[in-house]
Amino acid sequence: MWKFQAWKKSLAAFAIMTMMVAPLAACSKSPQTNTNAASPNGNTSTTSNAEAATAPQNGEASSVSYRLGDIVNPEQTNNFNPFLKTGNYAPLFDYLYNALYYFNPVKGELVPRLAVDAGTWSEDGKSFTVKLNTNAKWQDGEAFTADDVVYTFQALKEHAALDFYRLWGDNRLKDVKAVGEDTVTFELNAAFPSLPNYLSTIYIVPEHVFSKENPETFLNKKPIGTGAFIFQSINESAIILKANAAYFGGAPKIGELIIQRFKDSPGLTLSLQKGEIQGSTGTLAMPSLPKLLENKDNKLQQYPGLSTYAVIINNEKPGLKDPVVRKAIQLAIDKKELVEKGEMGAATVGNPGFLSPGFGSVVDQELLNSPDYQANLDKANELLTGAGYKKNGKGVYEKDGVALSFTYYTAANAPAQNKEAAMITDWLAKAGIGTTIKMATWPELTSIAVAGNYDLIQNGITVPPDPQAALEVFHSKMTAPVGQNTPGLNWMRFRDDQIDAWLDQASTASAEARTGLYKQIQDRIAELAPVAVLYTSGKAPYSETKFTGYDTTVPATSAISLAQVSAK
Amino acid sequence: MRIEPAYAVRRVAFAAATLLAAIIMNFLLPRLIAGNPAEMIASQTALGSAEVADAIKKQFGLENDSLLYQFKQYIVQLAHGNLGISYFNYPTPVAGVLLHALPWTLGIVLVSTLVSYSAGWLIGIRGALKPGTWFDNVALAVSFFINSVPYFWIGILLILLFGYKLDWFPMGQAFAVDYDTLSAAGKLRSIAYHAILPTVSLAIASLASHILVLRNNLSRALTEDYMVLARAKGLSARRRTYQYGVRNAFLPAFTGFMLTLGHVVGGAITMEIVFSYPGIGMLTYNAILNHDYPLIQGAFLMIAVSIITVNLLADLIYPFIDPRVNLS
Repeated sequence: MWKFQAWKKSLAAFAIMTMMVAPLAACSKSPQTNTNAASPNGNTSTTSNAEAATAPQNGEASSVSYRLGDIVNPEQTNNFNPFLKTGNYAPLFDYLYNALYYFNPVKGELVPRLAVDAGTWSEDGKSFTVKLNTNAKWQDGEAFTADDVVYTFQALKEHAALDFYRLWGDNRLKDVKAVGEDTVTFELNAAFPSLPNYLSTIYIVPEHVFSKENPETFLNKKPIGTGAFIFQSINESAIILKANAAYFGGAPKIGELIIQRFKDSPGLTLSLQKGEIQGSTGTLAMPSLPKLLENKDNKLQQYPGLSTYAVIINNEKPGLKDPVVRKAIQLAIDKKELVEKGEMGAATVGNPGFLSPGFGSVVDQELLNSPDYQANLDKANELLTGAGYKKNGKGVYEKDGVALSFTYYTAANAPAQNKEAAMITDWLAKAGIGTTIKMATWPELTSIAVAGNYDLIQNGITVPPDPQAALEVFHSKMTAPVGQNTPGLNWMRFRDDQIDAWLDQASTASAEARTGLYKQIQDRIAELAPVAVLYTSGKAPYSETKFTGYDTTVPATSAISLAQVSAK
Repeated sequence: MRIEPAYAVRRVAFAAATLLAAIIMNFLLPRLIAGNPAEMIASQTALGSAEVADAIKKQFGLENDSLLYQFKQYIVQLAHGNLGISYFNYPTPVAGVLLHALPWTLGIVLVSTLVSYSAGWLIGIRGALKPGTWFDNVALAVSFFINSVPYFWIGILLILLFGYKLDWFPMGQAFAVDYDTLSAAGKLRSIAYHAILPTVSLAIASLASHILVLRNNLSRALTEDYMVLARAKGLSARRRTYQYGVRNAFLPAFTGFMLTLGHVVGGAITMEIVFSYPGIGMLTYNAILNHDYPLIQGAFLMIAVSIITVNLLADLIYPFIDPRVNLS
């Protein structure tokens, strides 16, 4: 009897649970298939897969939602203030704001945005004049003027904590002046030919909004920009933008841009595969790439970008102080195979001179194909034996009691990086260099690199869009002794008087002289091998299943491209 | 039955001392991580600018390196209920950051904890009462299997099956992206719909241990001498099973349950990553990685207070369940 009652109870409990879950599941279909929900701008707003799939065929693009995916953590949604380096999701600013110039990482060139042309230098190189695009308007209807540009740069001057690239320091900017409504002049204390590149890093903010606030603490919860998309709302699942019909570059053909928030790349990639999102700003789980590209409508745009992945070598550590050892590490690594097998071909083989191919004509392309820098295990072994190293019982070279055996840090929870680390340490073992792999999270890797508590780290170095700044990574002023945090990106603790002198000379030299100096610097970096460059990685996965018209002369999911994308 | 005052005072004093120790450790531990957040930010973005590093230090209140000075500031602010300003959510107060994430964590982790304990206990009791039956054998086999696979595997499997293949549930996030345009009822439905997979996966992942613990405890209790005595006294089978067997078997499980409740506010970091779900777990994890001292301290303090409070509560409830505690 009891048994019968117990089963009845179990069945009843199961039925109740089913009854509770089923309606929820059924009802919850509505948000996914509920087309034509009214949006605040009066247009119809569609936000689901089904909606994107049933986008209007008659060209009424304003009712179409495009979904982009990216990893956006909670601490990246605290503010929308482009002056701040923390508390915000920086890629968002590309869609909301404009700088005077846009650095196109696909072609390595500056594209005028709020400027109408490339700008004009004075004879002595101490003044740079920019004519502004008078068609640009703030999204709240206010006119965009030269005063906004002046205010933006003056704010950097008045708030040192915001001037990350020290535009107002080291004999750089002297003054920024408005000349009429549509022209701005940048006056300099000394020649600073990299200025236009740096202008691409500063988003121009509206004076009428920011001047009422302290730019160091302003959260800017309702951002007003000049960009192609207007901020609508943010929640734990997405950031929602709508098209700026009055955009000076032409109204976007999509009505809404939804940036869907993820916590990891596998989840994002699965959503791409399923078609829930149509693109990503670059985040992708590389092992899933072949599966993703099985659908012919899914594409992966690849370009050099500004992030160079390398085996970062601590030049102060015993053994690694010796350039011969560093050179042997460089020669042991087969970069082409690494890109092919580790990055599934979706990266660009790195230049041993460090500069990304994205920097165009100033890059020393000869280094890339030079036989001196191709993978060669025999040559690596020869170099070490030639320098007096002898293999010990473990097959590891040693000299003067110092064995070439190092810790090798790689990113945890990053399958592609781990696969590459296994390949690299295997090659190093064949070159008689022992390694012990350790794993750390990405931020920990940076923290370890900054403090210098490592031998070898496999990590990326992202530089500003300026070849001078990229090469200044190797300037001795950018480093610090082991145990102290480096003030810049010279995590390698590399010091070379010759490179310092050339860099100082190049910082004020003419364009022609700089190209020559940069070549010398790259050659010396390749020769001294302070890092073993692996590859550069810029990519934008996107889908053409439901949308077309991507501009692949720029990153396919950048604001410039998405402003031109339309539903099929 | 009532609580002995001496017992209650002892437990409260112990809780207060633990809280004090937690506050001190809470201050010291984040500072044992090498590096200074201001210098880290400057190193990655400021390209060698000492001025920028100094300005950020000043902004974050780190201009004075003295630990004693920082500890004094921490205690004074804490006494005023101020947990400080989060560096990476600057200038938002820590309390605001935590309160924003807490409801999501509580919603999922609390519900899944209650579901998994209830279901685990029911299955465990049934298995112990009917050992060797097909139900008991299946429950044991499934429990051992679930117990031996990592949580993220269960989460990913559910996403692939119910999110990707069958398309019954969303693959992640806390609600639909068009949440802001939904009615209040629609918002609730959206939250509940998105919570099903994470809750079920968390409940399944922890279910096995609850089944095994209660089944084993009850199996042992049923063979104790007092059960034989109860039978000899002529007590009914139902009374013997539930008032003598289950009640005794339940004691260790109750302690485990209360401990788990204390940890609920700590979040479930793997679940949050796999399901792209907002919550305290990822917030704390990222705060550690970012060297965001105030946020780390705030999160740990909240977890410590929660665990100490729930433990105190368990201690005070325990005499009602097991009167022997009061006597000792």
